[in-house]
Amino acid sequence: MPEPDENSLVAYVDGELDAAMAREVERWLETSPAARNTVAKLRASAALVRAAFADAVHEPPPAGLVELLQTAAKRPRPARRYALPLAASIALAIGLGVGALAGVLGTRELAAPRTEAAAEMDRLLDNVAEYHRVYAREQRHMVEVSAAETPHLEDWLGRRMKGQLTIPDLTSQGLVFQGGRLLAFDGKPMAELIYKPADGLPVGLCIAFAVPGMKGAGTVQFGDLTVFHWVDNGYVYSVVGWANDRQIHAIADSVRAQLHL
Amino acid sequence: MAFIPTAYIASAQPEQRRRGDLWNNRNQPIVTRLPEGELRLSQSLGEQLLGLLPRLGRFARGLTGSTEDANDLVQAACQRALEREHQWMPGTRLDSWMFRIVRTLWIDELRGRKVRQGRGVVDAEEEIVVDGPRMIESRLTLDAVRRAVATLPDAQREVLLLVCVEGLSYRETAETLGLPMGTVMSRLARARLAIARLTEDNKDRADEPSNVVRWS
Repeated sequence: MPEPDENSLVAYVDGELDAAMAREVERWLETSPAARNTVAKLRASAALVRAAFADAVHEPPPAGLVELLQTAAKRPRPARRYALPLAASIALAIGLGVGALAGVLGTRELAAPRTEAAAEMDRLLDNVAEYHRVYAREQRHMVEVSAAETPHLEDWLGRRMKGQLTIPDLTSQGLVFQGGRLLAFDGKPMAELIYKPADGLPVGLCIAFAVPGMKGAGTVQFGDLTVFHWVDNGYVYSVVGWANDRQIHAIADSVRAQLHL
Repeated sequence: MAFIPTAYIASAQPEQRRRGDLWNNRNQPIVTRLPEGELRLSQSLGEQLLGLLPRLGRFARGLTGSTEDANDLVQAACQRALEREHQWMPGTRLDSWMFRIVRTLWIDELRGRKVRQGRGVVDAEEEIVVDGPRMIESRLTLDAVRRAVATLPDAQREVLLLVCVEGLSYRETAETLGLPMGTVMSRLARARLAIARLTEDNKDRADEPSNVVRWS
């Protein structure tokens, strides 16, 4: 190994070298006073700089910023755009859900006023989009239980969601069922079923427990992700994917025609 | 030039994390898989930013060299983050994302404004001079270090602050700043040696006999 340069010495001082390289550098340090001197400087300067800015964490944040963030913490996504739902997609004809809702929800949620339900819906859809963004990009672990185990999946997720789950067949929409995953929202279970087009990005169907006051249907855009949701019989259903409104609504219609939770 | 291939840098290897968990800015899981398979989460962006404010303030203070500019910068960065929340991937580190926003805003927008207003520019050679007797107080030594940091080129200063003050690994720093790891190392080494040289100069002055004693 050639004499270590400043770059490898700084990496050595910061503990960024792997063990073998660090030993090489240490061997050099034994023989080179110049390298030892450089190491001492690199070490001392790091300590000085750290100390010089240590107190800066205690400076009060700018006035107003804390308030702004606290408000944002309550309403996580103020910048979102809402689109009106298509008339066709509001027709909620299918009998869905046999949820023993009161047993699942705490009294706090039952007492929640209407406006809180709307905020809660915001947060729920937010989570649906974020989960989808994370998991849909996983190649090998996109789902927890694969489509090959559909009967088990229906049984397991059905029990978690307190209902009888039949996985909708969306081949008419060009989507092949991949499998499902159990997620959580506000400490309650939420199921996501994932489908894939022949080429393109996965589409998810999420089923979550609704809180009293949640109602209606709508489309929300999260950056490039579209989420269409509807509430029925104690459940919130949402279809999420990198597709346009029309495609997402068509998928939702197909789901509603089949789902008998 | 770095003669060590990136492969030898320990932090270049992806971290081993438990699958199924999401992570917050302190590398702690925000969504954790419970033994029964359920997931527990999580904090909203606003809440997480609140927790991150002290570190953002410190980083901004180091970049700008002024508390006032740092406050403007942090405020602007948080607003931008809230506007662009959809761009943040949960599961990636929020601190890196925020440091990147702070740094981009500073370089692209605020710094230019301050310079045009004639503020925020430090004359290196003049500012770094600290007269001898004051050096006996370590608080003042650290003042000198802060001034030395302010004299560094932006490109070196941001690397130095992220690694030495914010404790990011080389890999995280490279990702935050969009730089190759070799560049991170060489900028860091140059910055550290410059700081050593500048503070060493001060110490030499401090060692010189002086009959001027100022306690301020």
